[in-house]
Amino acid sequence: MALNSRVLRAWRTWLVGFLAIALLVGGYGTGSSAQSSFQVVVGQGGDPPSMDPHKSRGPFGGNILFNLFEGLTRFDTEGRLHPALATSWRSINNTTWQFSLRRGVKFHNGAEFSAEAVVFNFKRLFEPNVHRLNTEFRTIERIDILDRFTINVVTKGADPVLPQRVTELLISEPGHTQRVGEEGMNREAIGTGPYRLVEWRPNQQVILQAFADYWGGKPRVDRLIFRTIPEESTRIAELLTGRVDIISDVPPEQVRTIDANPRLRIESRPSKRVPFVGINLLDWGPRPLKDVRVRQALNYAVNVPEILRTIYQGLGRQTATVFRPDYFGYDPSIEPYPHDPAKARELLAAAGFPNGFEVTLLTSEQIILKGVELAQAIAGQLQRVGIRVEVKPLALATYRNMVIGGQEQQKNEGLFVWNWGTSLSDPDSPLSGFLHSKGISSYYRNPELDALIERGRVTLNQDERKRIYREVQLLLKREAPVVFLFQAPDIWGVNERVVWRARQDQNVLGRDMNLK
Amino acid sequence: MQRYVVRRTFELMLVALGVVTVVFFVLRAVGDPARLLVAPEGTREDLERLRQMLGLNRPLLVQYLDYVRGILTGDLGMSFRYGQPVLRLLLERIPATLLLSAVTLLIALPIGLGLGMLGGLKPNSFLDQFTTAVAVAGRSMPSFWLGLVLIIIFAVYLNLLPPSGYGDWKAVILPAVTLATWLIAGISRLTRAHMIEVLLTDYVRTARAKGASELRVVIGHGLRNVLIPVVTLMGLQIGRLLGGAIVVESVFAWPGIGRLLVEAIFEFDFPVVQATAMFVALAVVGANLVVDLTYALLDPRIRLS
Repeated sequence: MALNSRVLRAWRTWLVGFLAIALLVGGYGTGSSAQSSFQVVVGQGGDPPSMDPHKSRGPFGGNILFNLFEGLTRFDTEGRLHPALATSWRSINNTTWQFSLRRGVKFHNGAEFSAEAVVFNFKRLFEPNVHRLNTEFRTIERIDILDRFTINVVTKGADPVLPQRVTELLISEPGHTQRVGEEGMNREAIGTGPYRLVEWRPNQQVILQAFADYWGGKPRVDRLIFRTIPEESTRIAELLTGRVDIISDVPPEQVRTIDANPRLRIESRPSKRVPFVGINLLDWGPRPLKDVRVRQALNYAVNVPEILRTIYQGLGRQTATVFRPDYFGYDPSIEPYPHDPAKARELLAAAGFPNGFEVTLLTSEQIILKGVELAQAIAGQLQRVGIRVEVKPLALATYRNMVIGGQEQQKNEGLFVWNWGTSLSDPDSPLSGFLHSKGISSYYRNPELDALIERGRVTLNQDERKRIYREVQLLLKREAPVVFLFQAPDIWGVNERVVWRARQDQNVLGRDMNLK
Repeated sequence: MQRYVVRRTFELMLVALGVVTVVFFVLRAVGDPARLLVAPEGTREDLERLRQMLGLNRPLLVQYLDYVRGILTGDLGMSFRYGQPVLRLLLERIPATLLLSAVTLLIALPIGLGLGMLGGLKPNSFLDQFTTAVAVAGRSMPSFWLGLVLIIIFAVYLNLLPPSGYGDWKAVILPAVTLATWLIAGISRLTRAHMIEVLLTDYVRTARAKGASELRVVIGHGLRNVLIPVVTLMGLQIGRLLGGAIVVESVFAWPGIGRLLVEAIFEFDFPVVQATAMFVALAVVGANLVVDLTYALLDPRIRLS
């Protein structure tokens, strides 16, 4: 009997011990693949379309490309301009900017960077019969080489924004570019950036490795991996298991869950995206909207702080017009329309619509974070002043197809939720695209505004330029060609072991990271 | 037999051409890809130039004939979005889809057949009702929901399997189980029905009368005869599986052709949509062809006719 119970006890101890070890090993074996001390894994919602720095990037290409390549200048996390491949620059006359280039810069393949590389890449941007991302650089006439490390960028007219534009003039190594050709450039990348491309498994992940000979010093994070995880709940699951360190586009409802987890935190900041409600003011558009009082009424009726509080968990910030606070010429003294339903009703009555009217509001889930909920909230608020709104959600492709360049087809029925956002802290690009009569996304025709935009584009004198843009903001507020909303938040989920702050331009750069 | 195969193969190619043609013209009626690819700050000239580069401003018939000519030489065109050969994009994704389909079938077939046979052996017994309930429950769960629940349980809480991705063998389990759950219902219901039928036939009664063991009756006679309708069902389902389990691929970040197709549709990437649709059509018809040929193996009556 004594022998039996001893044997039994021994068995039991062994069994329990074995199970404990199995659980421990099993647990550590599977979940911790991201917990490498020198690697950071980022989960994003899609794949970059190409490794070619001069092609369309889509929302997911910027992350990769800005780690691999650099422009002449760069933005910091707040959108302030800094030297990059150029060490200094100045305007030597109305149409010429002179750049001094950095010496001792090596490409990933060892080749040396110099003025020739800049000219080569600029010419590539304008190669005929190939679709390149060159809208930003249309103002440049040519680039002259003065010596190996000095260039003159000659612009067609005065271009005060040039130093910012060249943040996007990404420089690829000329020899490599010529060798691999058009198709090869989609897959391979040789730049000067702090990371080089190790592998791209399409629709799975991109693996970047720190570049030891980077001119700014080898980055602290050795390996940077971008994983494509389309489903947002799956991204969150990956963050929770610790397999992914940073995820993008966390829905506002999940903020509390992630924040409550001690190993994780939420990084949120106002992004470069500014949503608004576009108004179709073309001839064939709805009649009521043509009256400025009606448009002002729309602005008084919408309650932006309430929207931010309920849909966006208090993240994001209201804007007075469509100018972002970091835009050149932003005037903080211009206040947003206050929420005033009584005033809205008054204006509607004065315009001849005491009983309101009917209108359609187009939107898409993907046009901006919570695009459909936003439209529904706005519809509800407009309803309270008598405007009956029909919300029509569309798939993004269909929606863009309708709005961009669709002015002749007369499909955009009235109101539409739209957004713009560029990395440059300059208002010209969005103004030209969405509010100038010639813009392909524009449903507004105002010669006075057109003139102001055109003048602002070419004014070099800073003070004069600021005055022009102040007038633009006052005009926008007065004429209310759109319903002004807010600057949307970017919400990231981050593992506490990574020291990192989100950037305004939404790019995730290894150089901004450190590991605890 | 040989003539049969040749004829069927010819029909297969006709179907592929038909699908490509329909998809081709419907796509071009739906929208303009250039509007999606152009930068929103661009100008009207940009739009026109892009359309020209993509060949979209040529007459429809010219575009069509050009495309068909391309297919015959193995050139499926260039993706509007990626700027790369469509054939390469497809070939990159097909292995992932094949792997997922194979593992799904490996899980679904034995379990489906097993549940169905158990139910069919003793119709309306508790076992039968239980297995039916399980199968129907599996069918009723939306794969999106089931996938996420499995992720929460097995990845987040238990930390046993990865939530998503494509890499080691562990990554295929959850997506395959999610897909298989849906299949199992269909297989088991069919198996059960045919099992009941088969067990009432003369030859089974004869076998039992001859003293064959129940096991031999069930497996030898029951299973063999049930396999024919099940294989037919599989033919249809394989097409579905190969066509891409789009939802499952999205939830589990599985890089298969389902997602390729859906994304291409959303982005008006015509060449990719055309080529993928054609591939799916070929897969469905091809799978059915294989099924029909398999009949010959299973059913001597067909072989000899």
